Amino acid sequence: MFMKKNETGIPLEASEKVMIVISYIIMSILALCAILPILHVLSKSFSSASAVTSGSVLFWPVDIQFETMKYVLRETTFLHALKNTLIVTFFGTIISMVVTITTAYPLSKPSFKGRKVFIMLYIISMVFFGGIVPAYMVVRTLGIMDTFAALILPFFIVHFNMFIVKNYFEGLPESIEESAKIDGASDIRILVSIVCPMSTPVLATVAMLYAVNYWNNYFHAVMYTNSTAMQTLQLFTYNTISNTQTIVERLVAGNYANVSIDGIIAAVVVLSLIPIVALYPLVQRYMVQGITIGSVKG
Amino acid sequence: MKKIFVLFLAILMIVSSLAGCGQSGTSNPSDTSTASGSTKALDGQKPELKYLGYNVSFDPNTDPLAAVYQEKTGYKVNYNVLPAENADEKLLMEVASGADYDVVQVGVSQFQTLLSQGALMPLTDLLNQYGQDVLKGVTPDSWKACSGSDGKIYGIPYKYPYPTEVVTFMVARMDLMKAAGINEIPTTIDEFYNTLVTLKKFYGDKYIIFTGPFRAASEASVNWDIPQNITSAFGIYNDWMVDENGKVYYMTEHENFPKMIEFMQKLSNEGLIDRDWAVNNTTTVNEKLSAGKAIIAASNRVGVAVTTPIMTGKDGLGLKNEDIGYIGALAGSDGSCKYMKTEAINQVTCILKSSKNAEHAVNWINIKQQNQLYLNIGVEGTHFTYDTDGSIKPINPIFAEERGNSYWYLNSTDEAEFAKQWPSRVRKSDAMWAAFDAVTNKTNKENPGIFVDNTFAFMPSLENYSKYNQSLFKSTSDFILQLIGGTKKIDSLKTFQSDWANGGGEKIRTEMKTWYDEFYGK
Amino acid sequence: MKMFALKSKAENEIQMHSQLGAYMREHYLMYIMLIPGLFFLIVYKFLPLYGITIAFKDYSIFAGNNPLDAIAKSEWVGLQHFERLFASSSFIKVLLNTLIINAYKILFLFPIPIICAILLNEIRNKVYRKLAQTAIYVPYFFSWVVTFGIFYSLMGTYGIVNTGLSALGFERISFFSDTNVFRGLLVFTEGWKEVGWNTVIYLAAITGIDISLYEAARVDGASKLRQIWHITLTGMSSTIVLMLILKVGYILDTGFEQILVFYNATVYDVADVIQTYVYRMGLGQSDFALGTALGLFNSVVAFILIVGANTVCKKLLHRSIW
Repeated sequence: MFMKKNETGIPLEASEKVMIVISYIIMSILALCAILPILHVLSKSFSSASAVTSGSVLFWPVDIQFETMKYVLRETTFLHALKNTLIVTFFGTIISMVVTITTAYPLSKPSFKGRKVFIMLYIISMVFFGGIVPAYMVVRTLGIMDTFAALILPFFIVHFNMFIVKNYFEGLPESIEESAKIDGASDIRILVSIVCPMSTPVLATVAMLYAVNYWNNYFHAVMYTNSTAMQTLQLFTYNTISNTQTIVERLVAGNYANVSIDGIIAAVVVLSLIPIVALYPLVQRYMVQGITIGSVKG
Repeated sequence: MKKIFVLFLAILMIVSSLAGCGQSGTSNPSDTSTASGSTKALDGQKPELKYLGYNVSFDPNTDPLAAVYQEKTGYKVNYNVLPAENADEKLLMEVASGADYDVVQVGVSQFQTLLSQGALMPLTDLLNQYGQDVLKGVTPDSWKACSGSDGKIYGIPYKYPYPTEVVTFMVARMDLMKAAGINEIPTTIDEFYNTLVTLKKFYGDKYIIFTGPFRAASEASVNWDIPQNITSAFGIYNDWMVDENGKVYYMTEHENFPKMIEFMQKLSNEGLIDRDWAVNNTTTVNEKLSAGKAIIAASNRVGVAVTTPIMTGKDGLGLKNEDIGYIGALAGSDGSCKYMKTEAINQVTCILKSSKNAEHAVNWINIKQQNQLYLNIGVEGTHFTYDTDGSIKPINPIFAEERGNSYWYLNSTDEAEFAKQWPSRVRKSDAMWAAFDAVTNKTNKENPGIFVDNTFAFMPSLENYSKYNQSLFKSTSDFILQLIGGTKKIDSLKTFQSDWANGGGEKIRTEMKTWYDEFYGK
Repeated sequence: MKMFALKSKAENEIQMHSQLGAYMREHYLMYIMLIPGLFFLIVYKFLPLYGITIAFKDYSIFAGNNPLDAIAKSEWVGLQHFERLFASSSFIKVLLNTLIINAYKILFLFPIPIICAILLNEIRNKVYRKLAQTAIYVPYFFSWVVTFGIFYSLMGTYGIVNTGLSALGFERISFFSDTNVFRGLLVFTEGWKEVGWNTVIYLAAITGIDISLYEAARVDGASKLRQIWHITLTGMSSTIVLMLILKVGYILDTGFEQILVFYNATVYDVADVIQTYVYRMGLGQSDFALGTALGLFNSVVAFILIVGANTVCKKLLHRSIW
């Protein structure tokens, strides 16, 4: 009755069944640990001011209300900041992926002449940092101060992400590329039509890593933007957290008596989570094991 | 190395200008020469002003007030804000690399840095010409504080709007206190201690007897870890003080400092204070009070605006207004009490040397000051009414909606007038007003003698002071927390003081003494 | 003999050059591909390295026409800023704290995402797997300030956990101010926030493993644990090594934001790390030089550790970044 079959059709061994049960138990516990605090924040954003401030909200909304959400969406610049962050994340991720792939590919070839020198350049520039003043001056001199370009430039290549892609490329079987070479395909052609399709799981993951980098970027937004029109989500969030006292003064006398400052922070956190968390299930569609094999056979 | 760098930057500049990606909002150093300053007449077209202010949570460009200000002054202003973190670094980099702001509103120490680096425009002549109202509205002491060594004015001060407010106080649950047999609000440190002991005896571990301190998590360096209405009982009212012989000394050198620590340790050892005293911030203290976990809590005006509505609400603790009591500045065993006046310069508005619109900027600030009642409080009948005693009472919620954020747009006030107008801004919340009335107004009426002048209110931010004082204050606060928590003993005060002296304390003392003697003419 | 040797060396070089030339001609596209990345490296990473000289100067940002010019015009002060860093009596203590806290984090937290990735990979129910994956990765997006708020209401002295303990008759534990448990709190909250995130990276590595290897192993009768050990872990090893080398490399450089939010004066003895210490020392000073000196110190240590760890991994595990 419990003779489940896996994809290959071979019956599961006892040790495999034990493994699966253990996996379910441990992952459920971990997922619960992660979910409870999230539920806590989510509940806060839908609970009444008195329930939030007095700490009586646990994992379910108390005195459910939607005023906090309404306040964040209507009375603050949240949506504008969200738009800015979406723009930076979208274009930034595309640019970064192109640069990362074109850099990782040559560096993944053991036969590539000059490989060690280039890798060393990347290691050195990953570790050493000239400080905020010269970086600020570079951005200023480029004339991109207070533009989206200034927020994309710092993550053109994230070294770690590049190394992940390079690692993966190194693990791909050499044989397919060799046959393409014999057919006279250029390096770019091989990269675009053979290597990239074989690497969709890691490329999807790294694209997500980049998207998250851009999404979470706070420091560069502080340094390279000035105008309120350029405010990103992270700036907005920190400004909200840093100015609780003045927000409170504004709330108590306005039309939002049932909104609390901690409720607002919770709502901002929840709202800014949704788009980026929604990205992961999309990425998971590409996280299928065995793609390499498929293309070898096909 | 440097040459290579400059060469590369030059190439980058050429490339980027060829590519035409010089975006809006960037300063172009080459067009500064076209400015022809003084010929502009103020009755001509009014230029757009570029403004940089401190961090806020709202967008000053889209707030309804921006339109109100534009309509009243005739100036369109492009508002920018500094970040919440790294504000000092950002300001320095912006100004040093020639950012094109006209008006910058900064804190006192930031002002001093800009002034000492020669980044600011002298304002004396401009104020005489275009800023007569601004000149008259500010006291001579404040002007002195904002002047350079050449005697010229470089900044326009904005003082804390109310000179004698008891900023820190405690909220007490009178219902619980009465049940334990306490009917009077303690006014001395001994009464306060006895109150705590009685409450502990009566309630045991059921409640946190006294929770605090009330400090904003984001402003670690300016909060007192022993509420100032307790330190007042020990005669400690400021970090730096001067004794009757003109000696400048630090709070840890005050003769009562060990006594004060002993008192707090006693509270801690007897379980009278929150065990998370070192961890607490405004949010956790508010939570403990409004959830009914604590009987007495350190708070301030904004704190009660959060907690009182919940404590009195039917979904909350369901208390009546008279169930909430306020403990103001406590007196010592000998009846003496010292609480520092709140009179001090908060912000300084200055004009960058590179500004092309200095006359207009001063004119703009002057127009705003002329209309301070309209811009900050509003129109009689619409935003506020006059009470029988002549005080101003705001009309909610329109006051909050249309004037709620006006504090950020303030540069200069008629200080005397504004001290009368400002309490109305407290009155926008009944809870804030109840506390303000019970603590500040009461003290001003019955006990005004406790207010001590802040000797250093008008001291410019001196070199060593701005360099070392914040980190010294932080290490002192930490030391105090460690003493209260029991991880350090009072014997280590000597070690602390020598570390403090070597860490810049003595340098500051010398500097402050020089300033003190000069300013007060001794 | 000598002549001959020289000649042959020269010949070799010529041969090598022509080989290199031929290689570059054949694969010129590979070099072109590197250009965008190198452009970024030069403009945004290498040119600003000039700013490292600030660590050896009495830097005043207003000393020149602009902040850059000011670097050149500021006076050299030698190692003065480094002396300020290292000479203080607390330096040894904060250095030790940094090492201990981060060593704990590596020891306890490094293996967990690897295990998670393997376990998740075993789960056949796709919906459940996706939900679990997404759930554990969400905490990464909470800032430390928000994380502190959540954990204080759970684990503060008067929080939910302690209310439970107290109701059961136990002493309350002050997780946030007890020096015995505070480091544990740091490790635990870091794990909560980061484990799911790191799992994502290992999951990507697992997808690169050839499924036919498992089939072959199963046919050979290898147990599940043997399969995991020999196939899954081996397949992930280059990613594991990359992560480990970087973790070890940045041992002085991590955890600042978390500790700054979580710690307080009563736990300085166990939680004050180099960066928090320097942060307090420089409060209100806008001291670019001190920050640069600390950054340079951390970079040099990281560079040595990364090169060292890479060499060790190459020798022992035959895996390395380069």
